[in-house]
Amino acid sequence: MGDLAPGRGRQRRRRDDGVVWVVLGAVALCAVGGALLVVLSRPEPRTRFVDVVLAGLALVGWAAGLAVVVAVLFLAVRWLLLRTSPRTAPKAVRR
Amino acid sequence: MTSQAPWWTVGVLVAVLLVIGYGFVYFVVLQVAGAWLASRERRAEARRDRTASPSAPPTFYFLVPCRDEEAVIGETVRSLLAQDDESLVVVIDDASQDATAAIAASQDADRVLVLSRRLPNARLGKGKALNDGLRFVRRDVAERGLDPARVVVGVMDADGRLSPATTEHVGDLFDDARVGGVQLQVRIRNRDTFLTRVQDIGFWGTSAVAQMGRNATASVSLGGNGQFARLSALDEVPGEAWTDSLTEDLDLMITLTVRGWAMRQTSLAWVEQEAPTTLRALVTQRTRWAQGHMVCAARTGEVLRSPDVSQRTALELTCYLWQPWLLAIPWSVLAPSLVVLAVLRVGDVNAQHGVLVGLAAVLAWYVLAFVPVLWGSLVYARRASRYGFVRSFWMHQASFVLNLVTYAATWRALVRILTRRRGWAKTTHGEAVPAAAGGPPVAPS
Repeated sequence: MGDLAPGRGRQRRRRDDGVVWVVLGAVALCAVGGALLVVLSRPEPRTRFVDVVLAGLALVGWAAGLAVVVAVLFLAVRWLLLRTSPRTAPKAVRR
Repeated sequence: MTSQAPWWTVGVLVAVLLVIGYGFVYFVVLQVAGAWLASRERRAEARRDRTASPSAPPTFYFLVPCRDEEAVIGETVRSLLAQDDESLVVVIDDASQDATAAIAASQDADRVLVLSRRLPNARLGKGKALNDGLRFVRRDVAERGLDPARVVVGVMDADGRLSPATTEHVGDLFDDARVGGVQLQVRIRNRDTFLTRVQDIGFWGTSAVAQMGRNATASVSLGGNGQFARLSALDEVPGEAWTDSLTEDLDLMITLTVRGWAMRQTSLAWVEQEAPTTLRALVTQRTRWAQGHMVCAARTGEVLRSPDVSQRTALELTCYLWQPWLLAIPWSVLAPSLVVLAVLRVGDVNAQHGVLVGLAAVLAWYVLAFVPVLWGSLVYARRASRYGFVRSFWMHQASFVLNLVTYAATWRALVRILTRRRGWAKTTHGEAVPAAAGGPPVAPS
């Protein structure tokens, strides 16, 4: 690969960041939604084998969903901070 | 939560869920990305026509800091010279009292230079020795009129051995003008005992895949052995490239990343090194790594504020830097607690519904808790030739020993941080078994 044209690095970064948001959002929705489905559809009392497995899956699902939500919040806060902070020129050209 | 539950239990539950979720999501994302990227790289390599290379390879300078390494330095230098016909080796003798300097100097005089550091300006840490070597490289590059952007500085431990054609594969990565650093996968050479085998499993299994996954975020962590940096990237570092941090390699990686350089790993090359052979030496090594890693978390602000760091890089690097604080320490408490809770729960289930349901509960708990172990067994069996899945599986059951070492080392590091102790003697290298020196663990444990 040769040198990057001015601005191309930044454009690529913006596109990459967009992908990250979409993927994280989708994973968060799936994880939280899946965990909710498992928990809400679970009959009481829960002592059968399948219920133990479902309880474990729900725990992991909730945990994963919570972690992804925190990650999305983290990205949103950083995005806001970078937007509102004084701009310094990013490095777009490298040789 | 029920309305009768004390308020603090909600906080504890959320914290526990966050720790589990952080570890689980981080592990899964890195492993999936790493496996996919490694597979893609191997396919591309198989299709590649090397006779039609579009650009000249970069010039490599290998820095080999060493002290009292006469047992291994000769072979190390010879193996580096065998990489290609161009690379230069700079052996930085840190006031050795044995024949290290003489053995190194007896190799190819045109391509090997021995820099001798003398007391009292020697034995001041690996970082200072490397900076001395880098000063020589800069002078030599200027005298030869080389372009610093096409010069790569590699760091090798005195006991390190590169895989064949490493400079070729690493050079390919540096063809991308955005790449500032490359870290090799690590393989343990003396993997013939239980303790050294579990270390090999740690490095060569899921850790290597996770590092590969970090290619997706351009935030591959640098380790002490088999790290490469572009000279023009090192020139951007204010002050000395390698600091006196306990993990000067991780420190350098952060410095380069906040300046917008991408950090990469290749699955096509690796470095072999000797591992500590005693539990005491291993705990000492891991404590130093953990302490350096924990201190580096203080640099998170630099990462977050840098406009040259993309969102994905910032997220991954933050997760990585805070791993000892937010994963290792909480998990060292949480994991045994969950085991106790599971045992108590199984007792209740047994009492109410019989042993079979109780066994099923244990099996379910195991599968959920040990998914990483099952995945790791598969990964290691595939990557370590002639090491079958069954052996890999059983070794992974036992490799929780390494987790215990990590927990102990992290707590010990925490105590050292709180008591402001940071001095470490150089890891003692045995006659033929030098301990691995260098950077922090390079993947989530």
